[in-house]
Amino acid sequence: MKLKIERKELLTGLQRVQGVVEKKVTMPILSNIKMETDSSAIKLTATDLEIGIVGIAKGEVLEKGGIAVSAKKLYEIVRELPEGAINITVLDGGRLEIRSGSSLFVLMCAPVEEYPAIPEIGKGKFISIEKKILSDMIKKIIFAVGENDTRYILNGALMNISKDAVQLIGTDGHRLAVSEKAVKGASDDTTAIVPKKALTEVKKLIDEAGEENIEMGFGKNLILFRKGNTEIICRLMEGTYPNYKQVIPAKNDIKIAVNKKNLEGALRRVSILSREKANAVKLELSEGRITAVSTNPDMGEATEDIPVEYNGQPVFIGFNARYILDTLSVIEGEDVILELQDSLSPCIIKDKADKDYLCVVMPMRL
Amino acid sequence: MPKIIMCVDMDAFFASVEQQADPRLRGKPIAVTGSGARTVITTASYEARKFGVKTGMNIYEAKKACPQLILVTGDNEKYIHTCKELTKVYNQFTPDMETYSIDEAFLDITTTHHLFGGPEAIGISIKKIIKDRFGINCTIGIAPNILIAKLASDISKPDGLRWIRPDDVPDVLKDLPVKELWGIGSKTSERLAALGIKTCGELGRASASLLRNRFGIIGETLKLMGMGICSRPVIAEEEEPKSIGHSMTLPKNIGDRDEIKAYILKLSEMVGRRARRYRYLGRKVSLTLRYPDFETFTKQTTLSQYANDTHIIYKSAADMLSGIRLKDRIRLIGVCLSDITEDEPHQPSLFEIERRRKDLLNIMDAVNDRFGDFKLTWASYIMQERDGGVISPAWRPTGVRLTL
Repeated sequence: MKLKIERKELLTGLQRVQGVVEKKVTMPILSNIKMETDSSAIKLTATDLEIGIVGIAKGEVLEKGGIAVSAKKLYEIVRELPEGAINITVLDGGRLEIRSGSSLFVLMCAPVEEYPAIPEIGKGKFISIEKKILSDMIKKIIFAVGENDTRYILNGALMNISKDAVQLIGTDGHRLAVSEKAVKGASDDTTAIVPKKALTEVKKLIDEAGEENIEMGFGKNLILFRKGNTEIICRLMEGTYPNYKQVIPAKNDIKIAVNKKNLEGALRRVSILSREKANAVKLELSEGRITAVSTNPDMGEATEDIPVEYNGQPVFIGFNARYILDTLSVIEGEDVILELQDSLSPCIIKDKADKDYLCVVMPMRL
Repeated sequence: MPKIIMCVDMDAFFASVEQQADPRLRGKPIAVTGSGARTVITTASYEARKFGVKTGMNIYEAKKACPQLILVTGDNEKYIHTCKELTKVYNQFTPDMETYSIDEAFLDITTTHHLFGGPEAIGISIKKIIKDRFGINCTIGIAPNILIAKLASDISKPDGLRWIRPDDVPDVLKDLPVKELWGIGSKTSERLAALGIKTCGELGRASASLLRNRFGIIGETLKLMGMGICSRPVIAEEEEPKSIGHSMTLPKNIGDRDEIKAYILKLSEMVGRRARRYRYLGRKVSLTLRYPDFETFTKQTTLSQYANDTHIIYKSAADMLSGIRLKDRIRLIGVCLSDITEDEPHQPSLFEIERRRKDLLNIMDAVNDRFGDFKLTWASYIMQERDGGVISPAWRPTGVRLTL
């Protein structure tokens, strides 16, 4: 393999695949990326066996071939090189030569055949989704997806695709976020559980420059996201996702509109005193206001009033303030709607400006 | 508000426990020794102390002082057991209790003494309960801090009770030799004597800079001690446990797998119940088995989620047993839950099935707390219960770190 590439082009390509490279190396080969050339393109591949990412970088291919090279070292080298062309050549004995200006690096590498193959999706079903829509959906649910949760399946997000809509759901057992968007073009219903890491990588890819739509394809136990000539292929999680519909309360009759900024500010301030105690904040709903209260016997207490339109019975409800703040941070509208029933039933938080989004938060017993 | 601290110090603890366990020893000069060949006296009964038998004497010296002295080899399990039982007595009066050593405890009764008729009434009650239940005399000191409380008990031994009120502290300390203070040993008192400081009163009046020059950073602490001031609180909190486990030596060695499983089930329930009581969850379960020749081995498995559910603990331990080829019968079985994290009791799950499971376990524990262990158990376990042996009903869940 022999090629010539602009530093900037290679750096972008390497940055894109870095996130997928396994940090905890269980198989040494997975700390590498695969670099391959065919007659005209340079292909960069990274995988942790669960997620694979394949990107194309533009350059001048002088000789076909491939190699598996340390992702971290190659990235660090390219980052430090000056602007300009880089010449890359595979030498005998599995070494890779990198030349730029007066710098010369020779890296010990692994043969390209040792690199695990990325599964092919075959002739899957594809749908096209606007990049902004998918990015927004991921942002609005990903915080609720479990992180290293021992209930394995909660570390993934549920994706439901129907004829005219895509729905994403995340939960960690204490809160649940559902985002739904009208999307045309799906031929029939599909359900998939996508690992959180894959969604994080997909969001990064989407948020890069370029206005292309995202193509989503489904194969057997696989999902593919394609943007331009970059593809992320991911194994779906196997298992049963909890019945999330049961968790969404149907009879939350108390509905209050609150200014998002006011609520966010109050919770941030009041929870300063309860950080050590699971961020517990009590909301007291009474005529014309919500009072946020936190008490910490070792430190003191804090209260703040938030004006709302309400004239029903007083309601007291306790929350982990972080759960509410996480939700508020992804809501773009000016007002949120809180839907409550009583102090022990789950609360629904909605964005007044986005009818297709909701978050359910389980209260704390305070 | 000044604190009210109580120091409860057992009189000749080991000797008293032995005298209580064996009535033939009561009223006689006895001394408890270690188990080694060249041992020394660890505790002498008050009857023996009259003859001049002291802690630290070798057996020859002790016998010379008191020819009729009865020597008893110390039995730590007995003392630990008594110590644990004593903590239950203290806990009736305050939760802020620190077991400082095997025979000394500090109780912070600042906020609870009014419920029991005052500090002295608590002292009298504790002395009576301990005498009635364990046959042991103890000495109690009550004071504004642990330093003076310890002093109050030290100067009132044996079988005493003394309350040093804040206003009385200067009088008590005025002419007291410094080495009577807890924490000042013979070395320090010699060095103080070289500065002309012999009594606590003198120590309290000594110049802080002089003491600092001579003793470094503890100089100021020494001055405060001389004034009867001590800021160390009673440390009631237990540190986080690393694991919760139970093991038992079987009444006889067994080889039948179903019988072994019956014991595993019971140990799992003991572990699960203790974890639930102290609100801990664990992610690793280990099973320990010991053969008659004392060869011991442990297998461990990681659960798919943090748990304290008896059934989950039992299932993983029983699965481990299935994977073991037993080369002999078993004499000891242990079940342990580790990789511990705190349960958040105030944050229920969104999912009803998880909430109901938790409620069910809580109710089972409440029933068993009230009516006795294993009174309410899983139907699928009844068969094993019938086939397997029955463990000692003496088991009770006391502290989270309980190990014996």
